[in-house]
Formats: sequence, C-alpha cells, structure tokens
Amino acid sequence: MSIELALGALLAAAVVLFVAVPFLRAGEGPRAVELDQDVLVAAEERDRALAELKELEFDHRTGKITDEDYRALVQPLRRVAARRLANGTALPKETAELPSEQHFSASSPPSSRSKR
Amino acid sequence: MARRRASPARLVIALGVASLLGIFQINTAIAAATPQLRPSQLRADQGEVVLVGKVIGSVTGDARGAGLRFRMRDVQGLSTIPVVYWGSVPDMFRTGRDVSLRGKLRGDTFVAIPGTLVTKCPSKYTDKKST
Amino acid sequence: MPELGRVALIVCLGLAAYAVVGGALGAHTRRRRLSESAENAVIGSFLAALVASGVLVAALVQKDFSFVYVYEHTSLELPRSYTLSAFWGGQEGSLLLWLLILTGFSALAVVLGRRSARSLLPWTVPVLGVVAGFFSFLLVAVSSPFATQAAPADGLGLNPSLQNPYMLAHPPMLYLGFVGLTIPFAFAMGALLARRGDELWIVVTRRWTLVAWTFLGFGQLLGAHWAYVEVGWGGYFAWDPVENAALMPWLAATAFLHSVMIQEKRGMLKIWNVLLVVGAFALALFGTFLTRSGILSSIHSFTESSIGPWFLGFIGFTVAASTLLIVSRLPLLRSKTRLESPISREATFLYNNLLLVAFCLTILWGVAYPILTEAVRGEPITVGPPYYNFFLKTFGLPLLLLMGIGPLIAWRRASLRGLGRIFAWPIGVAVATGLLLLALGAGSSLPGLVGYTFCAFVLASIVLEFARGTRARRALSGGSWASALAELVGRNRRRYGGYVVHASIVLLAIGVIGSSAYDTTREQRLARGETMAVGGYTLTYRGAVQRRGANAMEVRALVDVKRGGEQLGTMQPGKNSYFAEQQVSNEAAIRSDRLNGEDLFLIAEQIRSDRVFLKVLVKPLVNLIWIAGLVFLGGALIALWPDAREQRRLALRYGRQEVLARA
Repeated sequence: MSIELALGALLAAAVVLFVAVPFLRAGEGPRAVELDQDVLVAAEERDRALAELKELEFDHRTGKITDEDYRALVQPLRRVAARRLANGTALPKETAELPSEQHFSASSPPSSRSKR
Repeated sequence: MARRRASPARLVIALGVASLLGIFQINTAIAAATPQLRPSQLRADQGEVVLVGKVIGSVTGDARGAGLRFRMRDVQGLSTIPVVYWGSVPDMFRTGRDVSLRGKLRGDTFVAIPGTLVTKCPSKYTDKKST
Repeated sequence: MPELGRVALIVCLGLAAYAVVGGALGAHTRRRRLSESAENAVIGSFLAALVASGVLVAALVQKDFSFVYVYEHTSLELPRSYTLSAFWGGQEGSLLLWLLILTGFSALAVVLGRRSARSLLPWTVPVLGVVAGFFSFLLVAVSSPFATQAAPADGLGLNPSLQNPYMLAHPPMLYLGFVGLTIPFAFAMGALLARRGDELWIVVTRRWTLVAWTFLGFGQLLGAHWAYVEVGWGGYFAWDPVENAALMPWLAATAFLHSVMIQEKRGMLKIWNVLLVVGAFALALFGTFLTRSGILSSIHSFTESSIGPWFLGFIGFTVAASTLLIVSRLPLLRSKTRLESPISREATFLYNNLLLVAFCLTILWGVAYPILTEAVRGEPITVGPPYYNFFLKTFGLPLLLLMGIGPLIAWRRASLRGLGRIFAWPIGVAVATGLLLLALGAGSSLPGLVGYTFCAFVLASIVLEFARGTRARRALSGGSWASALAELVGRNRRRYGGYVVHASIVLLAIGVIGSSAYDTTREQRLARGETMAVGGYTLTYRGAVQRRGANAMEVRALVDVKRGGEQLGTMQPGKNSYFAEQQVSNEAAIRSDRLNGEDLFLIAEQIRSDRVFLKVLVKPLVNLIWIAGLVFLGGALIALWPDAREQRRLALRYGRQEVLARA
C-alpha cells in the first residue's frame, strides 16, 4: 500500500516538475510574436492560383478540357496568378515563375490526342 | 456555407435540404416504425406490433415444429400472456431473459411472425448481436 | 495496486485542468512560457494515463479478482489474450482506453505541432485539455476501473462472442478512429479562438483526419467480418444502433475529407468545413455514448446508467460552445469565391457532401427517433432495417455514380461539349455490363442491376484516370509505362490514393449487392443420411460429434457438401456451451469459394445424432467485401505517404511565419 502511494507521489512530482520546466529558464523570454495574417492568406492564395494553373494544364493534357475551353480559361488564370506572385514576398526558385503556357497546335504531340 | 448573393451553391443546398425533408416525410409515413408494446398493453385490434417483455415459466415445444410456447410478462409488472413462436431461436434465449418479437394477438395468444425473436443483451457492452 | 491507479487518474485530471486554465490564460495574455507549460501538461497527462492503464493491465494479467472490474470481465479459465482484451470489455476500461489514446494523440500532436504549427498550439492545447478533463473526471468521480472488493475465487468471465481474434482488434481500432477525430476538431477550434483566417489548421490535421477515418472504416469492416463469422446469423450488418454509432462519424469524416479539398483548391466552404469537423467529433462522442450508456435497451436503463447523462451533457456543451465560437468568427470565414457552375468538380463534391450528410442524418434520426418517442410518449417504437436499407439505396446509388463522375470533370466549369467525349468510354462499359448481367439473370433485382451498372461505370472511370494520366506523364517525361505510372502516383499521392480507395468502395458495393440482392436461403430439417439441395450445392447430414474445448463443450453437425457431383468436403456447423459464462454461442460453418467469391453458410439448430435443423445461405460475391478492406488500406496508405515536395512547399509557405512565432 505504501509503495503505491510512494509511486503515485513520484508520478505527481515528475509531472509537476515537467510542467514547471518552461518557468525555470532564465528570464521571461519574449512575448509571442503576432502573426501577419495577411501575408499567410496571400501566400495561400498565390499557391492556390499556381496549383490551379498546373491542374488546368494537366487536365488539358489528359483530355478533360477541350482546346477551346483551355484557351478561354488559361489567360484569366495566368493574370490572377501573375498578380498574386507580384504581390507576394520573395519566393524560392521553384515557385517564382509561372509554368509556360502549353502549345496546342496540331503538330504538338501531347495535346494532339485531345483533338478529335 | 458563406452567404453569397445569387450563387448556385445556395440553390443547390436549399433544393437538397427540401428533397431530403420530402423523402423523410414519405418514408416515415410509409411506417417503417412499429409500435413497441408490453404484454399489459396488448389488445385484439392492433394489427402487427412488437412485443417486449420477460420470458417466465417453462419453455415447451419445438420452434422448428409445432411451435415454441412460453409466457411473457411485463418487464416491470405482473400481467402475462402466452406466446407461440416459430423460427430461429437466439442462443441467449432462456427463461428470465428480456426478449422482443413481432406479431399479432390472436384470441388470447400472441402469435409471433417467424424469425423475429430477439433477446436483449443483459450486459452494458452491447457489441454482440443477439438474433 | 488500485491506489496507484486512482492517484494516476487524479493526476491526469489535474494536468488536464491546468492545460485548460493555464493554456487559455497563456494564449490570451500571449505569455509564451505559460503556453509551453500547458503543452507540457498535455504530454504529462499521457504519462499519467499510461500509469493508470499499466495498473489495470497488471491486475488483468494477474487475474486479481480484488479489482471489481477484473472480476466482472475475466475468469480463471480465460485465455491470456482475451484477458487482455477485457481491458476494453467493460464501461470503465473502455473509458480508460479512450483517455489513454486521447492523451497519447494529444501529446503527439503537441510534439509534432511544436515543429510545424507552433503558432496554433496556444489555443489548441486548452481544447484538448477540456476533452481529456471530461474523460478523466468520469474515470475519477463517476465510473472508476479501480473499485475493490474482497477477492472471490473466480471471475464472471468474458461474453463468449467477444472471445474471438476480431474482438482483439475491432474495439481498439474503432477507438483510434473516434479519438483521432478529436485532433482536427481541437485544431479547428484553436484556430478560431486565435482568430486565424488561414488554413494551417487544415494542412496540419490532414493526415490525422485521414488516419482516424481509415481506422474507423477498417475497424467497422473488422466488426462486420466478426459479426458474419462469429455471431453467424448469415449477415454482416444489421443497422444495430451500436453499428450505426461508428458509421455516422465515418460518414461525416468522409464528407469532411472531400469538402476540405474544395477549400484547398478554391477557398470555398470554410464555414461548412468547420461545422463538419464539429459534427464529426460530436458524432464520435455520441457513438461512444451509444455503445456505453445502456440507452439502447431502453430509456429506463439509460437513466440508471452512471455516465449517460454526463455524456449527453458534454456533447451538448461541445456543440453549443463550438457553434457560438463559429458564429462569433463568421467574418473570418466568409470567402469571396462563388460556385461557378452546377457542372464542375466543386459541384460534384458539394453533391457528394450533401448526400453523405443526408445519409448520416437519416441514420441519426433512425437511432434517435425511438429514444425520443419513448421519452415523449412513454411508448418506444422500433425502427428496423427496412428504413435504413431504403435510404442506403436512395443515397448510396447516387453517391456511387458521383464517384465515377467527379474525377472526370474539371474544376470551375466543365464544358458540355467535352463531356460527351470524356464519358463515352465509361458509359459504354457500364451499359455493356448492364446488358450482359441482364442476360445472366441479374434482372431479378432492379436496384442490384442498377448498382452493378454504376459500379462498372465507376471502375471504368478510375481505370481511365490512371490510363490517361500515365499517358500524359509519359509524354511529358518519357520513360516506360511503369515508371510513368509510378511518377504519376508519386506526384499526387492524395488523388491517386483516393482513386484506389474509391475502387475499394466499389468492390465493397459489388460484394454487398451480390450477397444481399442475389442471395439464396433455405431451411430444412434433415434426418441422418437425408439430402437437401440449395443454390447448386447438395448437402447430406452425417451425424453429430461432441468434444470438450478449453472453456466450452462443442457440439457439431457433420454435413457433406457436393456440387455438380464433385465432393467439396465436410462442414461442421454447431454450438458451443461455455462453462463459466453459462452461455451458448452459435458456431456457423462457412465455405468460401476462391474462384467465384461465393460463400456457403450453414447454421445448425437442434443438433441430434439422428436429425438436425439446417439453415443454409448461399451468398454470392461476399468475399469481395473483405478484399475491399485490404484495397481500402492500400489506397489510404498511398494517400497518407509523406510527400517531400509537398512538405517543402508548405514549409516555405508557413515556415517564415512559424520562425517569427518561435522568436
């Protein structure tokens, strides 16, 4: 019985110590920094526009979107994506450029399949 | 669902909810629900009901032959009624268990619809099906 | 060691309370060290729950009947593995399992969150603490597994149908699913409390939701398999309230998994998503309540149950508080994007969500209606399988169809011109399959035929997606078909893993349709040597045998099986009579045909050496259901697999902000 209570006391002491650890550091430490919500949301929107473009291209290649629809959809999307890229903060190489527009002339193999 | 003016999304959702409610009404009206009664509540003119109660006394007969016969009593009460049943008998069935069956009162005997005998699991951990 | 167990639970309760109070204070006043200590309290609560669980496990292993719980759920004869499973065999133990998994997941979420979502933790920790506090409170004050007594000589034993390998896995797996839904809920509420308008909470909890959903789904299949094989009435799902208890949160989570994709791609449906995650969590709590509170026997046993009213109160509090929070943060959740066309991938996802939620609500109604009518009118009403099966067809068949349509349609707006070409192949395959099946006699069930046709449509569309995608990838980067396929899947694991999961649902549907719309049943009394014919099989009764097992007396009827003149073997359906528990269990005999997926299912009653009463069921394609479970796991694994490219991209998006938060 007393072993149990001793073990229980040990458990309680251990967790209390663990909980107190952050306070045992020297000094109060800086207050948590405010997050810039606008930057985060802008980053998400930028990624969203880029991802949509990529998907549009792939859907075009796999034939889900006809050439006419691709033509109609791609320009507005590219404009939106370009605007959001310009608005955003500095980006790494990977996402800094828009993917190049697909060719959809008759001679180009990838999309020739999507023609009738 | 954000509030947007003239967005197809709202219309779609509204139509969806409306048809859902419509289907509900129709189906509940088609009576998927049957009254569940105790032996003391049985009367001759009720049609098909679900009878719930405790099995008491001795169990005789053959559920696969001339009929299994036993008496049922209100779970918390005194009135009893004779019951005759054909079909599968769940393994947990015995005198003292709470059971339910579908059927009709004919004369002074409750005649059960074959195969509808269900025992209520006595333990709280009702992971086991009993039919 | 019951004292240690009780102390550990009290420590856990204290830590949870600290996580709530200290965590909320730290988040509100933005004091970093207070928030961090609250995070540590969450981690510590796992340690305390672990100690309490260890005490119970030790008592079970030692068969210490001075623990009331051990006495009530084990016996001296019970084999070791089932003794361990008695941990969750009763109410108190299963609550402790909930707490253990909850604190474990919470601790893991905190540790992982410190690396990738530190800014969300301050308000997420108090939410986790509230849930842990509730369960700790129940275990400390209302339903303790550590009650003691003077030790009797032997225990009451475990319900015989729980003595089965599936019962070792099924409840823990379901609990991993139920509890797992707490994490997305906590992060969602944490983000709202912190007035966040971004989607970090979704990104961070994506895999948690998928894992919980997978456990729930697979756990239910295990339960269905257990019911089929062990309880053995010939079916696998009876729309029992305890079965519905797990199905409802799974449906809500399925809807949520799809609708967050819309938010990710188009930034729409933010309010719908938070409502869904609250709904899924509330249904998980409700599901636990349904299986534990005794409310299912009758409302009278509910009020006698110790934990029923507490659970109901906590669910009510959670729903009310969450709704209030969402309403107060509505401006954050408004999105500028509109649905552009009723024929677009967003729209099909929306229809899918509506159908899933509608189905979930009908099941909820079916479960709640009898309880409500009894409370109001004093007279209970039973809602049976016909109600549920009607809605399964009404909502399930369109859902099946949508699974095939959705992947083939583009985002924003699909042009009607292109649609004809896209759908030509799948519709063609579906119609051809339908006609073929009609010729083979499947017209005997119209919903069955329609269902099969839809299944063919969906499978064709999935195959086409893989084929077209592989071809496009190969055109882009060259290489073999195999490497193109691997690259295709590797670049978009969620989508193609999702398609594999869809394929598993189709297999499930085919199995369910085959075994319920096209099955055959016969019942007959057979004398020794007498024969009966069912569904192409010829069965002959040969006599009975009796043997003594480890903890039961086993009686078996020997039945010879022939098909088309060929001897298939002898099956032995029968009954087991358990000594300690004084119960009889049904032991059905099942013969699975490898080639056509059909099962021959035998139930024996009134077994005597000179005669037996046999119930025979022939269930076509039922084994596809179990195979579907494996495909389901495979698809989920693909979707879950870590994607380095995606992790990098997300780290770049949120990384700078997280670095700022850490400063």
